[in-house]
Amino acid sequence: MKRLPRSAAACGIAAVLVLGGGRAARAATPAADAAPPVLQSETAGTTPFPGLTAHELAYSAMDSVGAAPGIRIINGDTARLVGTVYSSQYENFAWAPDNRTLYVSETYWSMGNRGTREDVLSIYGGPTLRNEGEITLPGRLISDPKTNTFALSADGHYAYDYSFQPAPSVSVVDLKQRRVLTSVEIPGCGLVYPFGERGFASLCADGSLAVIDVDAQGHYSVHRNKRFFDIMDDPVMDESIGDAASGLAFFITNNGWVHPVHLGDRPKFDQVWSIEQAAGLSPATSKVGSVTWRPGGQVFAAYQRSTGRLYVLMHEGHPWSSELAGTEIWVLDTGQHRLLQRWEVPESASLVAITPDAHPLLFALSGSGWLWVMNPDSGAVLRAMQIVTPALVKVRGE
Amino acid sequence: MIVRACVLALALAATAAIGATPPVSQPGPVTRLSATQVAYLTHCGGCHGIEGISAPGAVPTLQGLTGSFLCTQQGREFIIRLPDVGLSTLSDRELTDVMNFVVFDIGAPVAGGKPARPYTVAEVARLRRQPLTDTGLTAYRNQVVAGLAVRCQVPAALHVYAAPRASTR
Amino acid sequence: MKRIGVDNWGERLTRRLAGQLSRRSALARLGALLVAAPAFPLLPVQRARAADASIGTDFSRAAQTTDDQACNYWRYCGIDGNLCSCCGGSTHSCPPGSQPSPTSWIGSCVNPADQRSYLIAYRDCCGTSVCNKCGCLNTDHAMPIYRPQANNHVIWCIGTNTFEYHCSMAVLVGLAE
Repeated sequence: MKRLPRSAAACGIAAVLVLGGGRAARAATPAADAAPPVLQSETAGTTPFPGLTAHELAYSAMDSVGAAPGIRIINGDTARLVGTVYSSQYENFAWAPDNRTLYVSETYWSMGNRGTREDVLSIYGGPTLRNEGEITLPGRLISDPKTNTFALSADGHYAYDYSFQPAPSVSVVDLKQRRVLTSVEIPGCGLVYPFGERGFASLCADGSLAVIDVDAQGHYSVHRNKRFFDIMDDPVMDESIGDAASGLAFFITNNGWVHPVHLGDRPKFDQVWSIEQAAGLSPATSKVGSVTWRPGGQVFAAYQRSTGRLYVLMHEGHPWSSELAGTEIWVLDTGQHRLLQRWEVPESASLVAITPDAHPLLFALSGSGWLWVMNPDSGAVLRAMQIVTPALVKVRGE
Repeated sequence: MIVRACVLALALAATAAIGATPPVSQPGPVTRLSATQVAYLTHCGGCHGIEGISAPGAVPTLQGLTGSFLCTQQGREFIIRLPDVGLSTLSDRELTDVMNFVVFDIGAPVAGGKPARPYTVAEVARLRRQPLTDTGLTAYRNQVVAGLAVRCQVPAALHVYAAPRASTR
Repeated sequence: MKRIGVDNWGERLTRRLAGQLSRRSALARLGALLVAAPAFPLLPVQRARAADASIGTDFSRAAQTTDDQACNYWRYCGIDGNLCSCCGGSTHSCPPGSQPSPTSWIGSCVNPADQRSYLIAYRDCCGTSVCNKCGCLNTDHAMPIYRPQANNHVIWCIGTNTFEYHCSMAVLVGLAE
């Protein structure tokens, strides 16, 4: 059942107000005769998009009955929909540094469930977020959406797209020349955490980190480091956070261990710390029956660069429950390894995001279709809006 | 756990005690798997197939073909140096058993070239310390298989892995 | 979670909230632990295995063996998606209109009836519109996407001519011990 969007009603009201105002203005002017006022016709265009603002968030929808996939932009101050960009299911997306160009990594088949497969990097931009063409990709990973399968270099020159055929590789795309520069083979590894000019790191199936450097001609080197986590007992979660500008990554495990790593050709591993210990609890383990607070959800953590704070969705549960929605948000100081605050979320949340500006908004999103805008200092819920089932979230600079 | 699931478990226990509903199961006796088979299946079998046959063109076929790699020293070393093999979380002993299973039970050694000796633990331990993580893997594999095809009577089906892949650029 | 239709969310949310509300009181928590123990009459050797903390997981301790249209059916310890048993197929056959994928991931689940570990192939059925019934997400020993051997978010249709996900099976491969 198609519901009438709220905005259509708002537009109708706006039109009446405009027309009403026009009529009143004409009544004040001395009339040459008693002819009825001529109403102004409207021409339909598209509301301009000035770029993603500081308090806006883009989220993609999990394809499900009742909601088509696509990327929806909402404003956190007004709790309103700003615009929508089309996508296939199983997509990923990223904003260029100008916050006006949107890159969408997606896959289509010519006949829907069959036919010729097309893997593309679609580009949307200009004043109205119009499609500006696409770059053909040599293949892609088809999976439930994961943040770190597609990312841009900090300067926006390159895109890195993790492909899985099922041999894993990364397509390095030159966004200025609009072509694939090279395909990097990364056997046994996956995901992309960009750093520097043309570098990225990938996590590997044996518990190690691979660092890849690409030169301007597309030649690359892959250097695999020693194992730093126990993959079979306590793996690093896919939605661990990396910041392309600084190259700082927080690789967070199921049991809440945080591995801060400065990515680069020679990655530097800082002291590992436990989220539970930061809260004064014993570290979580994978022991059967051990119920404790654990990080979890979909996009379960957000990093605030200006303060060094991590906002993490936490739930109380058994081992191997890393996808259970969080009932609380914990605010952690990554410098002092200390819990600063913990707040309940209204129901439970699977995604969290924080805007990077000086007066930030904290967003919590649930799989049941709610988005809550919260104060990141007090945890107070400022407003709520209904959304479609969310998959990925990005704020400015992501 | 979840309250509703627990209530369901209790309700079912009640009916089970009366012997009402038999467990839902597949007909036929269950296959008993050895530890080596379990290791192969959980580390490799999802993509390469329970019997070493998988999606043609997407995943390299193992059945009837892996034995060919023992025919040259380069081939013999290659399959242990594959990152998904050498860098697996299996111990040296477990990995040796799995790879002998892969080449002798799933694969089939071929005539010509070196005699098909089983891998030893010492050999596997040495080779897995030189994983092929910083090379163009596909190109190197093509080279290795081309070398096998020259020296031994490898099955015709192996030749597709000597052909350069269509350019992805 | 994979392609779970919206009308399943209400049910899952209710179950999840129920589980969370019960944890808020110690008494309710104790009650939950008691009913999570296997409720079948067990032979002595099975009782010993059930008591062995190294066998099984929290999921297997609360699982059942008779209803394969429920998320806590013992084979579903690592399933993500819609149950083919609810879609016109079964744990080992695809519903008409869809085809099984030759690639999958293979996990292991403990059967509470005999406390033994079985290998389960979570093979997807592909090629038609999503089933949207019986959405489940269990994650016993589920690995991240960079370890695809045990990942349940990859759309395991590789090797078919389509990536339209319909439902997930839980095919019994064999007895692991």
